[in-house]
Amino acid sequence: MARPNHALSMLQSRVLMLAVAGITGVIALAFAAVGAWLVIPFAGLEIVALWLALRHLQRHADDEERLDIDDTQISIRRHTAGRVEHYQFQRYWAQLRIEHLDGRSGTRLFLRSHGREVEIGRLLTEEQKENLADDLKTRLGAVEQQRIRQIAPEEGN
Amino acid sequence: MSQTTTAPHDTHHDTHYPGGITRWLTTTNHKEIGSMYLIFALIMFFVGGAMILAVRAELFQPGLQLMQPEFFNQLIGIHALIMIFAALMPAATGFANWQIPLMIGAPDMALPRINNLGFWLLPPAAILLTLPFLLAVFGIGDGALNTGWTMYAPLSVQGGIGVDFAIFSIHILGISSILGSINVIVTIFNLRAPGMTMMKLPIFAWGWLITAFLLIATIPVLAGAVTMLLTDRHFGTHFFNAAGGGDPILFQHLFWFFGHPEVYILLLPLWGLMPHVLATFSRKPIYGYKAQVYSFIAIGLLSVVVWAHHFFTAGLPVGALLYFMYSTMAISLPLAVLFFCWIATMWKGAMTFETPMLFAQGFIIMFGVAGLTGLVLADVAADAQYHHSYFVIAHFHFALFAGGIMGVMTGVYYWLPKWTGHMYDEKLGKLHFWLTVISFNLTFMPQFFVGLAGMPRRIPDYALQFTEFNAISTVGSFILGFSQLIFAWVIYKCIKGGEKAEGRVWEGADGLEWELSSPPPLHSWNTPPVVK
Repeated sequence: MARPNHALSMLQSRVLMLAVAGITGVIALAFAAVGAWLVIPFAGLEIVALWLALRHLQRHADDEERLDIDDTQISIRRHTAGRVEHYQFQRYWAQLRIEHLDGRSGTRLFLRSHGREVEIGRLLTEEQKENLADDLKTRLGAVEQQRIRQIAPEEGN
Repeated sequence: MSQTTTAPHDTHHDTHYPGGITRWLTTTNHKEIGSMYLIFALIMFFVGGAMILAVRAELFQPGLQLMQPEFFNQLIGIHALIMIFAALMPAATGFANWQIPLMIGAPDMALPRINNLGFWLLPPAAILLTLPFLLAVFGIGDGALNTGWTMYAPLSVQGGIGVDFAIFSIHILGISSILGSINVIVTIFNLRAPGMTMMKLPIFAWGWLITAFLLIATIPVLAGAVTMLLTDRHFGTHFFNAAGGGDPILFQHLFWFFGHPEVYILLLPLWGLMPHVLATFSRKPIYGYKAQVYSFIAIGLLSVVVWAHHFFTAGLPVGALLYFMYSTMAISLPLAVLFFCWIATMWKGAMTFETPMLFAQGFIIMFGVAGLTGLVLADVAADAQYHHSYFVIAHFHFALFAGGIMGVMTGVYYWLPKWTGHMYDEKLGKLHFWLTVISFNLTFMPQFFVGLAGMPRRIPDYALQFTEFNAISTVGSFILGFSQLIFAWVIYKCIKGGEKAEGRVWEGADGLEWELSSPPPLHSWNTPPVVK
């Protein structure tokens, strides 16, 4: 299971938003009162921009990815901005594809089988991806290595 | 096999690390964007500097030698806008980009793509600002903004196309600043390492946080003001036209409601930097962390309620004059707290004077001069004489060059080994410091005196009795300008190579950023460190 760091709670985020909107609003209205009403639209735009930024963060606050492997199936459950995605692969046929990029994106991991491919571990660091890949190599598509037990890999922070 | 699935995504993506210009156009890495901000700031520092050297050359002697007054007026206004918006602010934003994630243990800024956009808005804005110079060469328009950077109505309502270019440039710069501020705010609030409470935040981040809030509070007012200027110019409105029921003084209120906090916007990140540098080279912890943080907040709050001290002579009611005088003077209290904390940080410390520490000392002493002369200007009765004189020019260059640019240089020398992985050339650094500090005083000290003697600002010609001091000032400015080439050379040399820097570049340095290697890996703090 992997989750990104997130220090701002929903409540704090709202307080911040209200405080900024309140102060900017008062300033804009005060100037509008003496005739400079064109300050209002710019203050409004800015508040919208801050709101969008905070909403973006809050939507991604509960992002997580969960990988469960049982005897026959691998299931991936991913929350991205409130959307839930769910993928299943047959464990026997699933392959791990590792893509090494020599640049800023580092390594990317993909699970594939039957012409479908899904990226996994996007929230993980390089080191954690390596561990996950090593772990998966021993558990995928190699029945002979398979040991029957319930596994819930503990990746991430 | 029963599953819901979407089409496989991201299978045919580009596996190349983009090279060349594409890399810089599309980067979302806070370190790369930070470097771009800093390099852009350095280039614009030389552009703005070259403009003002032309001005100083004209002022070497009374009479008109080199240029017409119209062109002179364009140079001074664009010099100011470039130095403020295209040199100092981007430099501070470059610091924020590089350092805030490293210092708070975040993997990057919270909104990396917004970060990229924020930077790439700057070059077009700088081009817009300076393009009218070029257009005038080809006979289009009458040159750049010629009203001084303050763009006071009604002069700016009557000005040429340079005013329009400046208005749009300011809009773009404003958007860039807002995006940068939002990014800093959400990064600091959201991506702090576990255990790093607000009162454990590095003081540099605190300084930037207050700056970001000030930008958010004031930029809409500036944007509104220049838009009203635009509609007055082209769409027949009368916001600032007394004949149509408007009020030209309203523009001054709007402009300085932004303009005064802008001073603190420029300075707060550097005040946040100072305690780190002083503590490092005194080998002592920062003295009075909380006192400094509360002072930042107090200065931030006060800065938005003192704006009218910039136009005491515009004919304000006596009550307003008194209020703005006292509130302005009140700023000296939290500022004094900062100064005392800085001095106390050094008190009985094991001090050494590497280049960053030298710049920090120069910063404290000369910024102190700016503060004290500011108190003189804050006095309504005295200001009637000083207003619009060279005294004001000298005062704000002590604030914005000694307090601003030298603060940036402090930070560059302090962090350059961390960024490049190489030590800079200490001998050249010290040479740069001494040349800068001596020639700076040679340039601006005489301006206090010609100002006191009555020389007005923004004139290409002056009375004969000011000749000697102006000549000294011009000689000083050329030494000052050309010694900055040493700065550029030191940076270039440091990027190219040099003695390897350790992770903890300075033995007395404290903070998360020094736990990383020098230079830090492209991706740092992927796993947040835990702060105890």
